[in-house]
Amino acid sequence: MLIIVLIGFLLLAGAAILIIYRTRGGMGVAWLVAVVSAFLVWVAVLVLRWQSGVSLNLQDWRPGGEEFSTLIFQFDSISWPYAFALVSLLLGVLLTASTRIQQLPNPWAWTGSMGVTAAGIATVLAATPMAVILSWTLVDLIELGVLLGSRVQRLLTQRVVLSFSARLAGTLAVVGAVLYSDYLGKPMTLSKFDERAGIFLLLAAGLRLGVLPLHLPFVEEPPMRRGLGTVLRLVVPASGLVILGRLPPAVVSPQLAPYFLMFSSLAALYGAVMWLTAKDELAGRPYWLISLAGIAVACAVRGRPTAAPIWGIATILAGGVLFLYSVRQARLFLIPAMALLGLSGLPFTPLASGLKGLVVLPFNALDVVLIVAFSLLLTGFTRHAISEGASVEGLDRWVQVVYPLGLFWLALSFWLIGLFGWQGSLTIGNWWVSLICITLTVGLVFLMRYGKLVSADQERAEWLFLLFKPVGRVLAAVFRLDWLYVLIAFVFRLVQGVVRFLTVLLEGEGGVLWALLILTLLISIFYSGSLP
Amino acid sequence: MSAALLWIGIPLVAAVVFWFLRNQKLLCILAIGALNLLLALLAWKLPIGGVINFLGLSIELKETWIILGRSFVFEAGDRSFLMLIFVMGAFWYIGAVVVKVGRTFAPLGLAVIAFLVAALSVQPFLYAALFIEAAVLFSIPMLIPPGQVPGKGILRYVIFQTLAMPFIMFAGWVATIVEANPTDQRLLLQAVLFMALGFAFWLAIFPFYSWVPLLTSEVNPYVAGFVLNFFPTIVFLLSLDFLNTFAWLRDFSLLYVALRLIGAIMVIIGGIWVAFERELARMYGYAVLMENGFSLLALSLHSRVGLEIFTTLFVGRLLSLAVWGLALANLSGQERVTLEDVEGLLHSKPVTAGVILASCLSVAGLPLLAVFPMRLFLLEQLVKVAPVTAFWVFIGGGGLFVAGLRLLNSMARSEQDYQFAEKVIPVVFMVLGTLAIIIVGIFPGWLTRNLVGLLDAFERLQ
Repeated sequence: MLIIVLIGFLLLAGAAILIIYRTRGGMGVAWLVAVVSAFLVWVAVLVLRWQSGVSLNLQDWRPGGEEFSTLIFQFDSISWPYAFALVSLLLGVLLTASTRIQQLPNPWAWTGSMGVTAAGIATVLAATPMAVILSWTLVDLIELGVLLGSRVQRLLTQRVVLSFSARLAGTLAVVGAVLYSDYLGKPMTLSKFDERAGIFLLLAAGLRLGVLPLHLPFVEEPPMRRGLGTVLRLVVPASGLVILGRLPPAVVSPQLAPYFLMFSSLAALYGAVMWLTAKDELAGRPYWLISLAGIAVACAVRGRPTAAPIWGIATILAGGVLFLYSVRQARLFLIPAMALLGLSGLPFTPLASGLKGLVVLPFNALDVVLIVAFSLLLTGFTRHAISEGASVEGLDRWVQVVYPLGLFWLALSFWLIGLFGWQGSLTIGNWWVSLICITLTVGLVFLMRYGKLVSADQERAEWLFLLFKPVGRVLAAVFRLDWLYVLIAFVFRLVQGVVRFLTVLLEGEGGVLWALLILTLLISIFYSGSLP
Repeated sequence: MSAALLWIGIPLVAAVVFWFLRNQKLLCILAIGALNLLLALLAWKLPIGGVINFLGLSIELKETWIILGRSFVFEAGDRSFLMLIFVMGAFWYIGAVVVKVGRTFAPLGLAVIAFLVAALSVQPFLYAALFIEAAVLFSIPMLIPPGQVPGKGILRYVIFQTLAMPFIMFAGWVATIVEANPTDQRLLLQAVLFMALGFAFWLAIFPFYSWVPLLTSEVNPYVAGFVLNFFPTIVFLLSLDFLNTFAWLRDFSLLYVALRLIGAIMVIIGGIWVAFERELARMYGYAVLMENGFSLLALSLHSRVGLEIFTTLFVGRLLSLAVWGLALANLSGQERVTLEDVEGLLHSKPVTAGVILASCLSVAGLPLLAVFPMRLFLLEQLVKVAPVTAFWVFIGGGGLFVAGLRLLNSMARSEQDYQFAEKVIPVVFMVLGTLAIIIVGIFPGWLTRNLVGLLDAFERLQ
């Protein structure tokens, strides 16, 4: 019941914002209502960390009477950090919206953010396959609606449809997992399922995150930019990332594991390179997502699914800090620095537990790839955090207070999750791995600063782009999978030709005779006993 | 008064009366829609075989009506399917208010419904074939507007439906002999073969399906939807009746293997064909074929659960196909519309486009929409008894997803701004229909559980 109240409250508050804005014309009041509502939900979710057994059970949701027919949404050690991260992101977005009010007053975006977050919370709390299937679809449909409804987005229509298709394929992979479990005679729940069915869930998460197979429908970031754009871009992957934490340790057979690991590591490395060289943090956002998702998937493949959730949390919260960091000032750098420290993986920092999955002994070449990828991510984070942005000058005084508060809230939430997100979240981690990564990062940053590769002065950093542009173009061409789409279209047209020929045959003048011939053939096959 | 008079006689008489009033199209549609609702209500409330007290009069609602030596029998257990049929009728007539259907649609449609109900209740059952044939013949003027030359689809529809009649009558004749000689395997096989061929023609089972996409592309999609929903529903109910009546048919083990094979072929063939189809109305036709395939698969489970799935599949199917037909008819009338023609439709007619997409994806089995819950339940059961078939059916079913995504890609492709220049009343109808699809998809339990009552009419299948 409490879960319905939380989600319903967010949705009602979203509606209230619009009503207030329309009826009283008060942008300020509408914003205040949004912030207060989000804050209340944030406090409620925080308190739920210490409440056990908060769940919503909808039994006999459909005929069948089996476990699969039940919809369960619950707070547990995996879902709580994600729910908390999503609410924190919403609060951060609304607080930092104060800097965007003057440019783009848009209560619709706040309502949209609240709606998307509510759906996102439902998704991360889903504890049965059916709940996962329904909530994934809900989030996907919302995203589809928002993207297709966005004006500038129309140029990217095909990309939007491709992205939706990949996610739908992910959802169908969960359906596949359910069916496979039924075949094995072990009806599936997310807390208990046959390991052989786990590969379907891994594939589902991979497809959803764009990691397995690696695909980037949105290389050109949709132009919603900050605010709703950030919420949308981060909530959808969260719905896929959360399921990684629920996978069994031996999710992939040893024969297949190297291939899965290779794909995910490649995604992580490619994303990290592109993130580092992206023009700014918003342009690099798709790469940030794919790189961290790649690492999270790699954790699950290597038998460390418990390490996967924190990578997802980092994606949302550390990423959120940077993506909302539009107005910049030297003293404000402390906040992204706080997020960066949390992201470092040093002992007792939030990501420390995640590094247990980054490198798993015995050491091999893919460990090196992942270490390099992570170091590049940290370097990119630093680079984007110290680059220039809009100035605080000219902003109202209250904005100058509220905006940093929003950023700080996100960084604080990241640390709170690291401190007590789940049992064992505060850990020393793989301290030596973090040391290697930090050393690499510091070295890279130093090298770039020294070589003026990274600079507050955008023009001086230009040659970095010139250097990486051709490489990036080739990589982008490969990983955007345009070549694959062309190939698929070719095969599609080929088969379409065959189907059309058969259609003409069956629907033509001799169609009835053909039908009788096929019937005779079928009967002969039937009687020969060669049926499956 | 006999029940048959109420649910067959009154609709037939009303059809004749409204035939003379057919020029008042809206009045006819509304009145017949209301009559359907009333008949559904009566099926729900009246005790068949009991006594009704009405205005101080005691009227006995007799179960049997004998005419010319044939009897029309309705029992208490038949009330559920009577409700289903007349609710379907009301649903279709309400939608017809906003669609450009011909003047003959309303009265002839009612006559078709009456004949189909007669087919379900007539004893001996072999006369069902005659009533279905009558329904087919009455449906033709409904499908072709006066003065229009019938296309290949309509001709083939008549040919195949008519071919079914002799096979079913032969099957009925042989069946009576089998009853007397149950050990004669040759006779039994003949009876099954005749029956299978008859049903294959009726249900457009592979390879006799080619008339379905042809028909949907030639006539008003809404009227085609009426025919393609009513006939299979009645024929499927009739097939349950046959299974209920003949123990030798129920116990014929090969029957279920054949049903599974044919069902899977229909889903797979329909899935492949629909994925490559460019014409929207033909996509609709293939979707109907796939739905028929899924119903056959449910029957092939040969269990109580299978029968429950079979009956509950009707809800999602009816809603989704009716709304899809409504949106298609609203979009195109009788013109052929291809994927190229609907480019940017999401921007120019967002509601119509959205409704077409939602209903198409609902039939495909998209979660949150009407068909998904029971489709998944069917696959869950199928995978336990025939995993290979279930796998191919799952893959084949994906064809409709491909079609839906192609539609989405085409409809969304536009540089124009969004417009809302659609007529309000059709939009209201379409939105209400889509809401119904979503509500059934989100809360499938309560509605589907009530439909299981359909099985009360077939007590030997419990």
